[in-house]
Amino acid sequence: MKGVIGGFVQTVRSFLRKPVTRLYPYERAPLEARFMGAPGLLWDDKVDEIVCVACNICARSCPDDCIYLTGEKYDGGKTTKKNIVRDYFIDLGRCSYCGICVEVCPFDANEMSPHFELSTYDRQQLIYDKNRLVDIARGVQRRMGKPDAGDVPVVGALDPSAWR
Amino acid sequence: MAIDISDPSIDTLAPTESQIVEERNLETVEMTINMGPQHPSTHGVFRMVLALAGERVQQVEPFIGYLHRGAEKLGEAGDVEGYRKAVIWLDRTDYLSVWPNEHCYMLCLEKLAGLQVPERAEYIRVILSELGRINSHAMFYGAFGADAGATTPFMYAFALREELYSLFEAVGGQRMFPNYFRPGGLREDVPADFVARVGHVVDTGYRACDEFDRLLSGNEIFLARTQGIGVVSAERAIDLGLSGPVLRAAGMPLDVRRVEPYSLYDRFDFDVPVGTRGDCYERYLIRLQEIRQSLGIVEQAIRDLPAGPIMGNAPKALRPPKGDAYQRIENARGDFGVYIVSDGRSAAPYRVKYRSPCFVNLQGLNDMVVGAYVADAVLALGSIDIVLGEVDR
Repeated sequence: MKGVIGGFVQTVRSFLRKPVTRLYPYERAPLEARFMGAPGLLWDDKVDEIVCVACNICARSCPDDCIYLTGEKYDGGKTTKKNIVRDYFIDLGRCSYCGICVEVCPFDANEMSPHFELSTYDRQQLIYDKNRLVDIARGVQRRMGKPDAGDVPVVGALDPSAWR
Repeated sequence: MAIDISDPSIDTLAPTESQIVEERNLETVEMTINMGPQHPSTHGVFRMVLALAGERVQQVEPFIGYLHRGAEKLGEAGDVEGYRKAVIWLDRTDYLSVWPNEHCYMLCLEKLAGLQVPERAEYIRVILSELGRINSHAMFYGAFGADAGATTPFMYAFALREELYSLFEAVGGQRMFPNYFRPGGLREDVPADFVARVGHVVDTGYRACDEFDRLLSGNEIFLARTQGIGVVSAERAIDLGLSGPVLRAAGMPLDVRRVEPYSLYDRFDFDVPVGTRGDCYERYLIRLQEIRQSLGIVEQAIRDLPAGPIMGNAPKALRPPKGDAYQRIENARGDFGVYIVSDGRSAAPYRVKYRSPCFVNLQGLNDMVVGAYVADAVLALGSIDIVLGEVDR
């Protein structure tokens, strides 16, 4: 009987404690600065064009084979780029959010965004095209793969009002 | 309809001597029932076919493979960054003790490629591996309580696990599958407030352990359900190749961290909890004790954490020389091993093999279950603490 009473005592104690659960859709847990949500493509605001040059390294390094991209010749003159990405698709239904594509990118053209609420009624809608990937990475700074990235504040990641 | 408690025939819930005799004399037909793969107490998609005589299990036949994804074969598949891709699939086999398994893979790969790891990186790996072990044992506590019919422990376990997962998210960016260790070091340094946060988690962990004990460990109903159930002797456990808490509960003090120290485990002071009877209750107690020991290791590692680089001399595109390497570690479930064969040319392993402790520990199920009641079979299975993702790989 002693053990059962001890359990009840613990239950009463825990009853008086502040709850640890949150009412999720209304009350959100703060995201950590490094949180890796859906991968997105970075946009270079200085020259107002996409950073990606379609080198295909991310697609070949992806463990889930969920990236598909094509490039085309480019001579826009704003940068020294010879190629630019034409189509870029990520099937987020297959993506495992491991961040390898971001790490291997030699041009710092993508970043893991803080977006994680991606549920849809249709699997086809999880295949994100170039425009949507640029959209979800807007305001996100490149941080992964940099040796001193630990203390860099990440724009947009900590403030839920900045997401969509 | 309310039950009349003044009725003398239902004065006690336990069967009286006469009732037991009556049961023995009852003529029953042997019956085969199927349990799983969707049964909630089979911890995933495990299926067993039980041959019953009345309530007693005569024979048990396990069926596995419902969660087979070919993680080892996929580990060989990548042509670019293949060594990195294999970790992604390894993480998803044993989804509860991800950190120790990643640690093992990296140690094996470093052994194969001859890489040096900076001390700071190795300390951080040990801290995270031990926190991963605590995470897994906390999950066991919750699930085992649920197996025994107590749903409240689940909530207590998840309160502690939420703290741990928040820390993992701050360190690796992901809550469950961090993909944070790299051959030769770590992906990036830990956040600036890492030491303070780990200290907070350790305090929470000790407090949670005391709560776990108060809530369930002394509960008489829980004791009656678990003591003397699912016994495996030390000799039998060694014969079957069991490892981890299942073996140590039987009285065999075998812990890879102690008998074959890898990483920095020869520097830390910790005990290996050992049982005597080898029943479900001792397996439960040993895991709770191991949480405390792991917290002690984390405390020591945090105290000694040196400054310095977090990445060694690893080349960008890793191509280990031709050969093979095997590394065993103690993960939350037992003796986990990674075997990598390199052909010396490609950027992906020629062969990856994981020695899964869950799969081997499952062989003890027959000894634990035969002769017991069906309800005890559920507890015996729970006390092995299987993760089906690792059994089926």
